Amino acid sequence: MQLKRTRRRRRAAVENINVSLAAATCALLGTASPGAVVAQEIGKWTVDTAGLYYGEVDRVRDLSLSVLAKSQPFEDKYLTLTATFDTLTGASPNGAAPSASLQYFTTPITLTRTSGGSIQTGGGRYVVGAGDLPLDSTFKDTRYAGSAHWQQPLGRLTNINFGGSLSTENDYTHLGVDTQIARDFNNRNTTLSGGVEWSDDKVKPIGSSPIPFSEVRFVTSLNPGATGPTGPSSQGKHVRDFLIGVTQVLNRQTIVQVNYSLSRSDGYLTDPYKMLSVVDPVTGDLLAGTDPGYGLYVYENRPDTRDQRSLYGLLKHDFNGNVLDASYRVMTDDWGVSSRTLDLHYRWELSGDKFLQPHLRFYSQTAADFYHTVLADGGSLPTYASADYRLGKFNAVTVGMKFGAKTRTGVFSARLEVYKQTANPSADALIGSLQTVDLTPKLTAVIGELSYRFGN
Amino acid sequence: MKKLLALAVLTAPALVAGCANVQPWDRDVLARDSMQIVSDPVDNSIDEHIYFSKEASSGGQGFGGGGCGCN
Repeated sequence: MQLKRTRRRRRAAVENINVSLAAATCALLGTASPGAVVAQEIGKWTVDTAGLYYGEVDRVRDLSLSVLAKSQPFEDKYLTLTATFDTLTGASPNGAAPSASLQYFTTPITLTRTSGGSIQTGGGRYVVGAGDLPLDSTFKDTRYAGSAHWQQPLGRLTNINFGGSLSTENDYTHLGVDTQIARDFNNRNTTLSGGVEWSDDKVKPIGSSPIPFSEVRFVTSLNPGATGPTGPSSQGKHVRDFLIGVTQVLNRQTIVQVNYSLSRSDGYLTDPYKMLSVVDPVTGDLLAGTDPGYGLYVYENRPDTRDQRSLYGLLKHDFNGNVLDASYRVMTDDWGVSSRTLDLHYRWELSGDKFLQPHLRFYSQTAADFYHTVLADGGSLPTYASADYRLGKFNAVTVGMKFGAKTRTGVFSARLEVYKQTANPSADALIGSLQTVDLTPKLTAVIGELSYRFGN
Repeated sequence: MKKLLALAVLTAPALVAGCANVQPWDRDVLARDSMQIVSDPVDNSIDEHIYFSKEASSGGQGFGGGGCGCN
């Protein structure tokens, strides 16, 4: 009996040592990997689950469930599976600018295929108050996403990770494959990594894709036949990403990472549901459209290629058990957008296997060259134009706190964050009556998440 | 961007050369979950998706995200 207990203890001790050694090794590998490589026993699964609430004041709400399962089916070989389910409801800005007078739209502001191949908008009429941001109140979407990745060694010092991802929404499907390779040097104190990703997406705008800069038509009982020209019902979009990085252990408590990435997108990069207001170049008043009682709005148009480059740096430092995670990212693209992001987390260990983790994030971006809050009538039509606030100049701040506690079966955590965007209109929109309204109202969102990790 | 990249390239060798050579048996701290490059992959993925949907930039640490008609 005593002998059996001793053997059991020895076996447990050996397993613990194996796990610790694996952890020590894996800590330095796979820096460009989508998920952290953590030690675990062969054949055992760890499952991370999370429920997310994302709600913008008076706008979009997202409820989301995520699962990430990870296993080491064979020695040093890891399988990672993810699944996410999103439901989006609420109101989304349709691109039209606030106006000093009332604005009218019909719901839904979407397009419907007609027998003649043309398109029309339809539904009930609604009014947007003077100075208010026009929102598409029927915004609704459901998204399913999943991914699978396999990681294994290629020799003693190299790891390869490859896999794919897919997602589907009412009007969008995504299929992507990626691979990353990481090699250790310098007694495993330095890791060089590189990766590529290729994705093939399909955009199927409800009804059809609008012709760029064509007038948005509003169908009501007064003008049931209002139609506009139509584009293809399905559009393609391709993205290729390249990433190289170096991860360096600085000392026993500090690790840094620097990544450089290139991303090239081509295909249909326009948002089929976004429009621009057309205003008088002197008074700033919204012009009358073809449909009686409605203003003049046109569909946006973006370039069909985009090249982005980013430089990313991360520092992780241990302060006797507490961990600072600080990153800084600089990104530019050929649309004229340039951004800076500072992201800070501090994990503060409390007694009883609990922790608190404050989070601060600062983000700022310049506007895309073709961002126009409104289009002024009379001038020549630009080649590209979009009033999408996400392409405008803005600053954003995230402030949050996360609490976590170890349990007998895993780790529970909860976090609450507030995200705020403060935007600026394009200079060409500061004309006449538009100067009396807030063209870019603040965006405030609350992020709440409950998560549980099964398995330690 | 070019200046920053040049700075990173120029300082990287000095940084690496100046690093202590941490031995495997001294990596207990670095092996902890909280010291992993991505210590919470689910939170990371959720945040990437939110910011991808609300901002014009994405990626950097990993690939640029996507797989969504939200941007």
